[in-house]
Amino acid sequence: MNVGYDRLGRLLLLRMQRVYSVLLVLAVWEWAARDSVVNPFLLPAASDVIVNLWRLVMEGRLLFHASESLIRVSVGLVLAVLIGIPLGLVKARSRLADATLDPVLAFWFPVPKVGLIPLAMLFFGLGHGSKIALVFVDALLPLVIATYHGALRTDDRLVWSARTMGDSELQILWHVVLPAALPQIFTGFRLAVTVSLLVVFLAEMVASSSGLGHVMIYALRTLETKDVFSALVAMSLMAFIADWVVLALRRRFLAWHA
Amino acid sequence: MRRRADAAVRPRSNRDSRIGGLISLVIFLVTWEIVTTTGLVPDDVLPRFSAVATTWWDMLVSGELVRQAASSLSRQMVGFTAAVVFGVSLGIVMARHRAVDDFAGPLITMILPIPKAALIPLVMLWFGIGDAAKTIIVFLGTILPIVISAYHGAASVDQVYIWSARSMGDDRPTLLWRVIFRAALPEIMAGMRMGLIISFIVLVGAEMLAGQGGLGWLVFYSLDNGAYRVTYAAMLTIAAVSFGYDRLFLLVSRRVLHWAEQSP
Repeated sequence: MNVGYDRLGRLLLLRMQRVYSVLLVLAVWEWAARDSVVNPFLLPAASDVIVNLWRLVMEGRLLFHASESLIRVSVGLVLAVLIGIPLGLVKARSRLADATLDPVLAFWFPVPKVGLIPLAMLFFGLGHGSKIALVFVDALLPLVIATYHGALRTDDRLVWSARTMGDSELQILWHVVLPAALPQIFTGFRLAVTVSLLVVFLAEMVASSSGLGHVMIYALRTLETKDVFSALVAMSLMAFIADWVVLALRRRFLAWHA
Repeated sequence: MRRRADAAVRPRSNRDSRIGGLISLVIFLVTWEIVTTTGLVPDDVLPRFSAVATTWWDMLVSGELVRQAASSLSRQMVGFTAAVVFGVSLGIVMARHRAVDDFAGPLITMILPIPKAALIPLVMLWFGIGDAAKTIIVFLGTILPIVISAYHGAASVDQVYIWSARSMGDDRPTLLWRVIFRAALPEIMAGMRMGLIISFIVLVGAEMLAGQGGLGWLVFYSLDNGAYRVTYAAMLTIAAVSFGYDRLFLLVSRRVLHWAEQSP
């Protein structure tokens, strides 16, 4: 019994150690807003933000905007995966592709693609199109680069074995190089998802009439500060869930990988 | 072109990639000029490259571009430098002191998923739309990758280095500075580059949303006024400035890390 309690106590202590600072900050935040130490207009209490988030969800407005953002991110990401992974594979296997793509990637990688929002607007309008285009260009580069580096790591002996067994170049890409590159591809994909969310919310703030980014900037302009914070929580939840899904997919597809 | 031998690709020489870069640039610009002069893409959506280049040159000579770029860069530099100083210190201290790690670690885990874009309206609410607000946005947007990389770098320092330094009589601050900081430097530089790239994204976004000068503002202000040539010139400038900045950073980091086996 004694030992049991001791263990339980230690476990509780360990758990507390891992969350006490978060609880502390939340408590201070709540107290500061409730006691008006800070202006509740500038920092609404944590509980109010959550209640308000729930209200927005119930009204159905928030889910609509969240789904708008989700559609833009998903379509852009799917396009980036469909084009980026083959590009990365080809870049790793062909010297010509490597020589042409490399400078393009080197140039665009550090450039903030949000600077191209006007270009996307002029070409694709203010709706889904422009955001999908921006997500696409932003998600593409990390995917190409990760796939390229992953494909370079393919064990030559695997490629040789496949070739001796009569696989064509395409089959080798699909059956050997792609699986070998998969761990790196997932690392790139995870980065691509993070960047996509950043970009879609930013683009929605700058020019859109829907999406969570629009909700947040609209709330700021109409001084509904509770909505600003609720939108922030909603965005973070979405990003958190997205990351969780990526990791789950990774576990599913890379079960064979250490 | 035939597929290459299966051995890992031999690194292309610098000269090769420079020539390749030049060729793709020329192809890009020529295509741009052709689709616009033939009217394939309407002129009001995409002005001709030659027209944009002329506008760009005029703005450069008049000092307008330099003024806006300086405004953006000063915000970026102050925010980024502050994030580096504060982030690296926090990351290293977290890695070396259990109590700090226990306190700050879970907090960082909690705020990590917040998309950086969400910081912009929040900072606008608290600090307005001036230079200070944008500097703070850059600071907040870039600090996390820097803290995390410094933490990982400092946490994985070879214990042997630490023992050797101790046996030679290094006290704690000296050890932190002379051994741990330097051993963590390759990781720190990689995190800084990540932060650098994010800093331009959030800064341009913030300038588009909050105005008050800067290249991001110029892009949107000219768009609203229908001065598309200026918009394109400003977009090109953003690309050139951020690319040049990144190159400069890589150059410096290769210099600083010449002793490391692999630079980022």
